[in-house]
Amino acid sequence: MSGKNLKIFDKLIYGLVLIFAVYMIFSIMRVKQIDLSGFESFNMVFISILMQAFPFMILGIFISSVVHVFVPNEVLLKIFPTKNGLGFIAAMFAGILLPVCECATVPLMKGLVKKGVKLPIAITFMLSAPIVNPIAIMSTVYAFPSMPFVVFIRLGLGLFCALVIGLLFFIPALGENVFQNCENDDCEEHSCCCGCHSNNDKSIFEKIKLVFIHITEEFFSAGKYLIIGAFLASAMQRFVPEGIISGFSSNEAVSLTVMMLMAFCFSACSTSDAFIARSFSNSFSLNSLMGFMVFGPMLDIKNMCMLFDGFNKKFVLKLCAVIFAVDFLVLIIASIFI
Amino acid sequence: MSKAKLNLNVLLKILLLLGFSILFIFKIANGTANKYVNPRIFIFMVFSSVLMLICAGILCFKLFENSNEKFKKSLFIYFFPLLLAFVFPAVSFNAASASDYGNSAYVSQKTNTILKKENKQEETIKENSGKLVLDEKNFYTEMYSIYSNPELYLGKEIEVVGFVFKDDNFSKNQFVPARLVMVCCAADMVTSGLVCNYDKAYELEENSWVKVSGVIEETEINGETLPCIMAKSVESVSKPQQEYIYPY
Repeated sequence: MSGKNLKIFDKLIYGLVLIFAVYMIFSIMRVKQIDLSGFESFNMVFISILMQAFPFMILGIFISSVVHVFVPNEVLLKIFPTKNGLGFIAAMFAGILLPVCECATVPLMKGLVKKGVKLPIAITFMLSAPIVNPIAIMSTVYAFPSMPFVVFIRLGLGLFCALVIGLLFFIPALGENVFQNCENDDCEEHSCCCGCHSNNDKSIFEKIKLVFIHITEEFFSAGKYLIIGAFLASAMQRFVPEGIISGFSSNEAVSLTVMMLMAFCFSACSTSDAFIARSFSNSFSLNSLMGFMVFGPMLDIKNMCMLFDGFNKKFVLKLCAVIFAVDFLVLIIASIFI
Repeated sequence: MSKAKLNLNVLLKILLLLGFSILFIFKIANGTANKYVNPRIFIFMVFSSVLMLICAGILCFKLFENSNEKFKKSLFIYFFPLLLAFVFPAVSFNAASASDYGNSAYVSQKTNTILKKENKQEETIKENSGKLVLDEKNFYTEMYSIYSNPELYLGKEIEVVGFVFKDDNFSKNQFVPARLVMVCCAADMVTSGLVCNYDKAYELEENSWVKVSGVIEETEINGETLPCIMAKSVESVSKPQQEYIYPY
């Protein structure tokens, strides 16, 4: 046994002891009937958000993993014609056929650009795919059952923003120096979070196994953001007095900015963020919720980290700024109509 | 070479996947899952549980691979909700905990009618002149219908079971026999019901369950004209089996 491994075991034991201690404290508090009603309702909200978001996230990951493993990249490339008009239309709606959430679109978009798809088209694809994802559409319908038009507004605004942002990257100043200086294969290898490349010549059993390994990887990379997001959302719902939030929500521009920042920080998967948005529906206007649901899938902390992984830093910052600016302007204009 | 060393990350992941799938199945099996989420989510929960179980099974093959991989502390984040979910039993919400953010009963109904225009045909309401009995199935749609077209319901007899909910704006002979409506999950519960005029309303204990029979009339609260129930009888009943209303 190496010393390093011993340390890991120590940490693990500390962790388990800590969990046990927390469990004991909770149990004692429960037996002694200390008033935990505030905490208990927080707990209910927290667990319930997870209980409905996790299944949808896993379903999304499952489908995107199947596509990832069974659909070769060459087929993906054929989907995007080189002519601009068709290319953009394909980019906007390819997400319906490639049901991937934003965790998968970043590596996919990188691959597309490297294989010769035009940058604006690839960007439009990256931004619209999570929104037109059938599972995202389904969960939006489920999250706002009494307001079926929400899903149409989300799709409309999302696709429009994605198209505008993509077109903006025809401007030479924005679309240059996309990649990091190192153009060797090393960079590409690091960019994928799952480490399951070159899977064309494997047996069907191996492929199925790969699907589930991929699901596990994605679950454990995206799930923690969902947990943190659900925690913050339910803490806000339970412990922040309504006055503070409605203070934010009185001004359309401020509340929109708050929701967009929240979407950025929460990094919720596009397949489940509608449920989180839904939980804010009592304190924020529908348009601000749109900010959460349109901007969130396009850009969040975990997306940005993945972008920094393979692209030039300046380019990523420019991309983020453009996404934020376009979404904000479009939603502010939309707020007049919603 | 110590080839058969355990990969702790993989072990933790297996435990977590098992934990979550057991949590979902357990909560559905013991009947408390409907306090967390709308029952239509159950099918997705079962499906994801099965996937997680398969994942855990396949991960077992990797238990002894890459055992020198860096230990991932972030995995502990996943234990946190699991622990909370297993330690604390599902609690029932009451209006106090649900309406922190949801507006009080009649207000939320008012705003919702703007969003949803599910108007019942005038004829069907008038034809069906019998007593309107609200139960778990029709509560939500009838409530919408009453709030959007109160004039069609005036004078109609109504019977409803709900818990006693009182708002600061109410006079001492007013209360709402309310139900909690869960659209998706416990995060979005809204109190819903009709204001009820009952001369002994102040005697009723909040959150106790009552069955109200009466006639639909109109009343004024804070300058707003709202449909209300003029109670003929109010009797206390036990909590209904299905506590929440699941509209979809």
